[in-house]
Amino acid sequence: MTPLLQVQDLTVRFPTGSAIAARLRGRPAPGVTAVDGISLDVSRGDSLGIVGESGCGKSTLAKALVGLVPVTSGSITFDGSAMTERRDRATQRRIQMVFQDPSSSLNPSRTIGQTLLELLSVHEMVPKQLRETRARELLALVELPASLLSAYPKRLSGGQRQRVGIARALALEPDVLIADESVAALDVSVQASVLNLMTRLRADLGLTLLFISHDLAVVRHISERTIVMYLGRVVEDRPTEDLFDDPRHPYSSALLAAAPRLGTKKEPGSSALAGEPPAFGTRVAGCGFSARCPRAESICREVDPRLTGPSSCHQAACHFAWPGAYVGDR
Amino acid sequence: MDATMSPALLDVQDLRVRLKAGTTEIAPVDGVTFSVARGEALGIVGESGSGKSLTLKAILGLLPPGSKLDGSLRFSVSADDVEEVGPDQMRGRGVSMIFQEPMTALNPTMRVGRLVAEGARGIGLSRRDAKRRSVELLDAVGVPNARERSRMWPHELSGGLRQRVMIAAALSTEPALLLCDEPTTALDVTVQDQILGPLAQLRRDLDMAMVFVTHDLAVIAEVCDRIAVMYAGRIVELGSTQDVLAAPQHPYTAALLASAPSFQKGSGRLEGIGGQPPDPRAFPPGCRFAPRCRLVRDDCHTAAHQLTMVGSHETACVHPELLLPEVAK
Repeated sequence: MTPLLQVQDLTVRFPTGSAIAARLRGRPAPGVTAVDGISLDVSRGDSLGIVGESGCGKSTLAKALVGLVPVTSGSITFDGSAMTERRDRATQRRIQMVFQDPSSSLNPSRTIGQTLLELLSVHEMVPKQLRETRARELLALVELPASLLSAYPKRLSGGQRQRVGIARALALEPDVLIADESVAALDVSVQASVLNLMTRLRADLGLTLLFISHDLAVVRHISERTIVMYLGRVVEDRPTEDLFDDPRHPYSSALLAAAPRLGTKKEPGSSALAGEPPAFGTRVAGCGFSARCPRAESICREVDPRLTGPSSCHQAACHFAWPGAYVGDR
Repeated sequence: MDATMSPALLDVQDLRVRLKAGTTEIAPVDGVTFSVARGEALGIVGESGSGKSLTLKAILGLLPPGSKLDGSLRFSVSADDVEEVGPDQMRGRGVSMIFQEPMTALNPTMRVGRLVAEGARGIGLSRRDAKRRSVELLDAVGVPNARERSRMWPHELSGGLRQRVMIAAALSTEPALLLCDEPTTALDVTVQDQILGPLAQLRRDLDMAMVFVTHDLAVIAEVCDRIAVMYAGRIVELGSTQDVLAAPQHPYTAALLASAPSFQKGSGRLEGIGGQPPDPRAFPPGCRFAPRCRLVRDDCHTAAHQLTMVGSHETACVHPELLLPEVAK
């Protein structure tokens, strides 16, 4: 079976200054590489978690998949056909996104009903006379009362707004739902109900879920497979259970060690990771993580490790991830 | 800590904050009583709107204009000093505060070294000593190349470094009590860990007490000795962190714990808490958690709010016995 979503060598580069001035001086155009040659296969119905520190490129990857940022090089193939920069409405609607801050992603001057009805009419999802009914159905789907159709976003609580954000994405009956830090701004009790909702919707509607979060416990809860990103690259790609029990990349280990957790007593500051990710655009020779890595040896500063492993679903980009085997340069 | 031996560093009795909301008056903090011993770390946890941040601001006298403060708030400056003073005399000397968003809390027109030295000058250090002290403090909170960084402006630093600068500035007055309002909420877990580490170390070294407000129970479990759980303007459970987290005696605490996705277990359904926290304009009578409580009984709706000792710690729940079979499960 071919994967639903295939990403090949995807690179997203943002210009940071004048390309003309740079060319006149005979230098390459200045820019930062937010996503640096990522390849990824996602099968239909998968639940993929994407974790990493701020600035690792996880949100840019999501935006590139939805078509919100231009792709510099590489390709995105969706359901067998290439996703170009310009997508027609029918393609657009198949990958939808739920954003972090529902209060700034909903139009404050439109009622929830107006927001949903506009979507349904622009994308011609249902015949005109059925739109109202469909909007009610959508609210019921995200466990909100139909009375909210006439409400403005400011009257809603944070959890309700996030549910509207989900309803809005689902209005277009997407195949893939990308949740970018969608529960980060919510209280734990509300977060729990939104997570339960997403789990249920995924099962009921057969959605493919890409869940981006910096909260490892949340990712552990909702995702079956997790990728760890660092400096725009995937450094580990494993089934969630395995990643959390036995991380292979030292960066994954450090992330897991740094997270406070209930139930096990941990001293603050005990994670080995020092410093912060280097600023963008400062690509060093060898492994990008070597400067902060507690296990770094001379090979790490010279040879960039390839993302590799015993099988396509167990991969890590570290020279020492898989003892004795699968070592190679990029 | 034995409260009868010497007066507690901070003693808060029946604290009530009243604000004007349109034509009515609301009390988002409604009768909060707790004390903090010298060198102790107390965590206050609760959902948004529970009044936890406002409690912290009341301690430091930073309430919005037009608000009224009832109840008593007393510091005892040193162990043998029985004289008790209010927040105005303590601010800037005995008590410091760090905030969630360091970019808005740091003066953008001052180099970070001067921001930190300012407090050291305030407690009587000479210009030269204050400058040396600021570099020492920046180094102690884990700012790499502290000497060079002290000449930088706040906007030149990353979020994690800014937060460290704010902690260094807060510590420059050698406070006996540090108030922390969600200081690591906006940070990555790795950076959070790098900040909580030095903070815990410095707290031990300086024998400094701390009140740590957060919505993250796991962070409290890591850095606090005692925990106060707030709901709708009141403390509903108070006890040692270990006891409260291992055997909660209030259904709200139990529900919060059940809502948090855990590292250990695989996926399943999270408990969550139905409904929403009550609006301060219309707090329900009796136990304020009753309308959302799964174990609610008739008398909950009329019960007076009072913390009583159950097992190892205090709870405001009138039916803690109903929780026992739940916890055992």
